Amino acid sequence: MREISKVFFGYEGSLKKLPLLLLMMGLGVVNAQTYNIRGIVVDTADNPIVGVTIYLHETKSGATSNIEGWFEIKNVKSGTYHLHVKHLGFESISKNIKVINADVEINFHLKHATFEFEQILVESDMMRTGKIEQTQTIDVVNNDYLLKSSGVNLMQSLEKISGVTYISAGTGVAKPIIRGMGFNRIVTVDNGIVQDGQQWGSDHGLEIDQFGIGRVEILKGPASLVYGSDAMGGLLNLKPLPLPMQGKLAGAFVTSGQSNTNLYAASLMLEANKNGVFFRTRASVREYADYKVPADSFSFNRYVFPLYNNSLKNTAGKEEALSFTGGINKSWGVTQITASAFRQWAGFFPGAHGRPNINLLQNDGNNRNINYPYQYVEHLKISSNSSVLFKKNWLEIDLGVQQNLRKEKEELHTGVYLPSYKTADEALKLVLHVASSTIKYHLNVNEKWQHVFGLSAKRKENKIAGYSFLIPAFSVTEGGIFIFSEYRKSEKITFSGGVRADGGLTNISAYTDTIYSKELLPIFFMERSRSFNRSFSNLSTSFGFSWVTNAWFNIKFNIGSSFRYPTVAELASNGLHHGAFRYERGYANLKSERGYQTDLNVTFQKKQVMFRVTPFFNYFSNYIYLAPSGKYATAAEGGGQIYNYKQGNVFFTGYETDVDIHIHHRWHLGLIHDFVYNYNFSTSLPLPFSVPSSVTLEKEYTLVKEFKRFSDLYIGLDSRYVFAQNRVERNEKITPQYFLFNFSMGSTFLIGKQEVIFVFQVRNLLNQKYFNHLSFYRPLNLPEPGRNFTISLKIPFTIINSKPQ
Amino acid sequence: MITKAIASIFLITLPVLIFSCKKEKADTEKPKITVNAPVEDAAYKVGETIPFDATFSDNIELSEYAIDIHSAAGHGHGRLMNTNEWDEEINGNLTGILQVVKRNIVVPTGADTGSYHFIVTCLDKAGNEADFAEVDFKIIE
Repeated sequence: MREISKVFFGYEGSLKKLPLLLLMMGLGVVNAQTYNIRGIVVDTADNPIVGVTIYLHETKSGATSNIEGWFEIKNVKSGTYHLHVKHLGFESISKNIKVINADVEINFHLKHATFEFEQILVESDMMRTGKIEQTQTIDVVNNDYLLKSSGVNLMQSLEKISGVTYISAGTGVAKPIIRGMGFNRIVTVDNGIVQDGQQWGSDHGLEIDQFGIGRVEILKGPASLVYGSDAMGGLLNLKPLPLPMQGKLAGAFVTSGQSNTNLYAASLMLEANKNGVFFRTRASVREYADYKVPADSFSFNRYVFPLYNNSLKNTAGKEEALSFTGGINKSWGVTQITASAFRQWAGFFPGAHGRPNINLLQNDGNNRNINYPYQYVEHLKISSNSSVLFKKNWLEIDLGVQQNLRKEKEELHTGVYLPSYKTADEALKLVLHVASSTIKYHLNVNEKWQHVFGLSAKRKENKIAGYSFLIPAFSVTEGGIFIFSEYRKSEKITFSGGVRADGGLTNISAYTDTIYSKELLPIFFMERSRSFNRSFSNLSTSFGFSWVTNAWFNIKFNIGSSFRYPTVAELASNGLHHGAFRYERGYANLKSERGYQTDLNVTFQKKQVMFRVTPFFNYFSNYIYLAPSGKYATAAEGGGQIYNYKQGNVFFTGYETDVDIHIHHRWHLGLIHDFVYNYNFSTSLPLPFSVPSSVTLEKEYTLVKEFKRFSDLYIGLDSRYVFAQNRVERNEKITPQYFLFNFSMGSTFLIGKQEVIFVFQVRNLLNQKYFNHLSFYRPLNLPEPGRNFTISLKIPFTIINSKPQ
Repeated sequence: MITKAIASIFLITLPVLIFSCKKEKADTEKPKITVNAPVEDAAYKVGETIPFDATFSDNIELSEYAIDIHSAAGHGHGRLMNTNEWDEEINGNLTGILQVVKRNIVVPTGADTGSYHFIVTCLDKAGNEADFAEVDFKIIE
């Protein structure tokens, strides 16, 4: 509780000013006159289409076409807008329009889409343009996809997307990897705000409620131009569900159960919108037991250790999340505030901290308890997102404050004595406070030229406690300024490019460890970290184009530079990392990492066939990595081999291939393949956690499209082959290949008038024993979870619908 | 045009791949440990000397070894702080590709009786870690 009040008091100033600032912007345009946008939507044969959604991206307001294809969007102020037109079964349209002191009449011809290849509109693309015009490869999945593929954690739900995988530490902890890069080289954005925690640790997860995610946009390749440092490898952009419908009070209940971990999860959401004032609130829980594996023992270092009841002791966990969003959408724009709280308790397999020991692995008779060692994480976040009409163009403001509290609970080691003010079971306590802001001004010069001017600033403060030392207390202040432009030469060719300048200051605090005698008298002092400041600056650029050569081919090309500041863990860590059982030592003089990245995207799409190949080539100078020293840390320091942070030149190359075929209107086949190769010139070795190549073949058959109370009844079978990873860093284990089958089925049906969406899945259908190269538990030869049955139900409901359509 | 574009990407990557293949292979071979003494399940009295005898070997150059002696009761988890369990870490340097280390380790007076672990680890110059060797022994009255 004290932590919660801290975040409010700590950032009271900035939060108080926020509504005032937004109010001022709103007032500036409140008296302006409004206009209407209207027109007719027809298909290629000039037949009117009913039910087409036409909406303005900026105000999130829109209209639906009637039986004559007629639509009208009312109360639109003079300004430039992105108009989106979409309807199931037709290709979407994205158009820039201007409203200048008069009503606008605009008609649309929609083309029939071939099966599911509808054009999805992407918000991570700075220009808000369509998937064809944007120059980078962005994959989008929506809430339905997440429900259909629901895994043990968000990243498992996304693992079928080419080029995307994750590092896991048991059931509840997973961190994203895109094109072989993870940790601080990938940015996760939640509600417009970069999620900041302790991303440097392989056993630190995403700390986000996956039920609250409306859609996920994954940008493969650098996103440094918008997000600055850390976004060099890619972007995982988590977007909320669309705004609630006007005049509606509605909600949804989602529940899920899994057999392997006896997981149960539930989430309840309520939302309403009355005359443009809206809210949404959600509460979620998730609890799971130790995970089961198809093995009763594991072998480590010539010894065989037991796994009682085929389960991994103490890998149980618990999550709780609450969130509230409130806001207004009016003709002058949209503004909303979201507050969320997320808590997680996640146990670690006791053999993974230090060396495995038979005494620690004895059956504790309870598969749901969370004992030592475990982590407790609390993430609080308040974000405000506004899009406001300003001088006929749009000002987009994202502000956020966050607090990430992480406690690593572990009982005290032998021979260590602590004075009473230190908690005996708290190995690490890290409290990170973050305040961030991004302001973007979208300037639409004409049909062809668009510019975005941006400014971003961030302040991070980290405090430390606990009897162990790993990273010191620190503060980071950073800011950036950028311009990004797009030129639509013609319907077929779009160019985009930009420049960004960044500066940052890192202040690191000194820390001295005191070693106490049995009588609690200080015996000696050990300097773990000295106080020092570092400043960094960078210039990044990007250039790209998208070229639609003919109706079937689209070629996208990008080239750019990116950067990343060294993290405090890299500059100043100095302690035993228990999870990895090595002593990690930072280097205060590390330089910024620089990336030179290029990628290509060739997409062929004709009728029922889609084929896409996306090769990339990335070269990094001053790439930061951990190198073993060949020396042990002293017993007083905690032991383990010393690993030093070093820099060198590294390259990454690879590709993703996606094939989508609808051989029949009921049959869908998909092939997803990715490959990453990396090489560290300084060590002549690959980098650690190199992603193994994989091929997934998905087959889905729709049994019933619409029959009585059932619709969209499908069955599917995925076969996933993951190649062996023989390219490993020193002291890393090679991992053999494996072949898995996953089964899925689902349907939407009516109970009375109530719609229910049902999904059933079986992961690891054949209960295969296999190892995951990217698991935190891989060094111990711990197998991955066995067969897992999942049932998910989603029950959407409407309480009040004052404006039936 | 498309084939040209794809071909050019391969042309960019090719020289780097060739270049990378020319590099000398890094040393990733682990050093090896053979513990000759103490033997498994040996018993020692307080104040008695444990004769340590181990052979370390590596393909290129050895660096350091470490001996970690601690009680088998808890491995530092769930331990009482006022026990007199023997807990000691002994480090030593190594050179060359083969070295035999012999040293006498005295069981400290006042150490608790019970089961103990004797864990030997070793590193080579490149930082490769040997599979550790574990010997269980007892301290008796």
